[in-house]
Amino acid sequence: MERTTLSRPMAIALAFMAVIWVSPFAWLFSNAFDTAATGRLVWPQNFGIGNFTGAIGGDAGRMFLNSLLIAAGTATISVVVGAAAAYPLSRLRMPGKNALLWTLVLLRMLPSVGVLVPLYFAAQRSGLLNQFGVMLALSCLNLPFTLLLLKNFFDTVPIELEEAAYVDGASLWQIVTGIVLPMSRAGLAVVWFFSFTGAWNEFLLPLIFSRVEAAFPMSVGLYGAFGRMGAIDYGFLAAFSIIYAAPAVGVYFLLRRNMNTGFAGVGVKG
Amino acid sequence: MTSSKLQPATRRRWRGSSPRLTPYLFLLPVLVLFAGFKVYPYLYAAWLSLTKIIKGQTTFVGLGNYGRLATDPIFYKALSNTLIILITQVPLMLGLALLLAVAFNSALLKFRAFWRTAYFVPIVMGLVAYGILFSTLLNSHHGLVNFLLEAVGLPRVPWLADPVWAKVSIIIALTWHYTGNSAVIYLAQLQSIPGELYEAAEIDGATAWQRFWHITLPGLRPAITLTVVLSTIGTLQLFDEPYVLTNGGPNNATLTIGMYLYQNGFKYFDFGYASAIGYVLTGIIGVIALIQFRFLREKQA
Repeated sequence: MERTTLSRPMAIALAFMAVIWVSPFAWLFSNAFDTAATGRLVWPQNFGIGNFTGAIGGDAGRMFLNSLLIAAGTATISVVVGAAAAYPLSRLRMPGKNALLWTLVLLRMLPSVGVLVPLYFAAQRSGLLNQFGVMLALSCLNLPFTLLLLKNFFDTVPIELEEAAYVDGASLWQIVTGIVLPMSRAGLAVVWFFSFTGAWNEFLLPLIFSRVEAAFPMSVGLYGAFGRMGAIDYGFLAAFSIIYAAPAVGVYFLLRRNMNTGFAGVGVKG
Repeated sequence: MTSSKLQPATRRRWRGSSPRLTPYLFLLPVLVLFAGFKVYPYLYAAWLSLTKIIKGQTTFVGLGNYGRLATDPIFYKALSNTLIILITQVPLMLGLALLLAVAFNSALLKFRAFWRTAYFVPIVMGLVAYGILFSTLLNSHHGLVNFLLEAVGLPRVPWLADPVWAKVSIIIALTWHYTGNSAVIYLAQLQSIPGELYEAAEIDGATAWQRFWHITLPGLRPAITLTVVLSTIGTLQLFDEPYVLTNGGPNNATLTIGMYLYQNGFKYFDFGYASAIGYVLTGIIGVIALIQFRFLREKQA
């Protein structure tokens, strides 16, 4: 651990930064729990959870379920498809392996906004302009990250166990389901939850893919609710935002310890 | 990579249970997804960028869209907006992230859990939630920020309504959201710098600043390279924040290349032109990322 002391100017800079960073949260909570919220940062005058019940009572409940479906679906597809590919990539010397890994990384760098139009057409043509299409597209967006992370996890599972099982006559399927997957449970969970968070927060793809209001996830619905309102209902917006942010923040607290491995890949802009 | 000694046995196992094709069957879903959602759209976009819809018919126009782009003042406006945000926001964010990472790595920091929550929760907060939060806070008439400015005797600022301040608003929102992410990457790298280096430097009488400059910064170089390149790519693709906060306005002051692409594709339904913008954007990102990689790598050696 570095032993530099926190000098006074640095401490002041950090405290100043912290105030800026925290005040949006303070505002959010003070308005969400105030049934007569005015958008000011004050202690709630009419303390109550009316904003939350109001938000859930409206369309937010359905949107929450849509978001849950999209995020859980994306995470599951990512893990299943990613693990299937990462295992041979971890264990075998195959021709073109490095080329494949590099291609994946390079493709991640290509701007996804650049292929918005053809992606929309391709989905339209194959009947995927729906939530399943969103899941597939988002899984594909995550894949380079998923694949590299899972390959690294599989690399740490000792191969001797698998070889012993093979000598004892176990089939490949038995080895994968009996040894490899249970031993990489932690890695699979991390990847699942990261993909979940990424998909939960996604806005652009669901916006383009879900053309009927019944299919809107929370991100699209919240944006719509914001645009539609003439006079801003601060309490409602704040409560809606908190409900929307809660699952992703929950995942963060669940996986804090694994942050170094994961968020580096998920929170990247764009 | 697995150690090569173990490879033959593993290969036998894969061969023993099924034909040699098995590993490729495992890879098939990934390849299909990539073919369908990356490769095909890119090839299709290449074709689209050479076409234009004339009287309802998709017509081949050669490089017409690219020619139009080369003389389109709005495109240049979007390009310069994007570059302005890039060269101001990325250094600001990475500087703050570095400060945070060094503070977090210090044994003297108190209330660690509180700081961590304050800086890292924004990362996982969805774009729309924080976008709406900021557009409410920055509202000129009844936003919190102007209220606070007035309270301390400063004039109100037309945050989202003024061309310059609108860019500043976007930069503030981006920085609030992404700084923690870069700090995490720096923190991971900081923990790999051996503590003995600092101890030895301290014994030799190096000041805190000297230690930072000669040990911390060189040790962080790989992480800095990574964050500079990733943040640059992300900013060049910038779409979400201007879409939610300013919708590109006022008077196109926050129109980014990504927004212009979206507008052409999904507002004016000019798919050919939008695809051409996509290809030019890809080219710009490729060139800038390559230059950065070269530059930062060389400094490293």
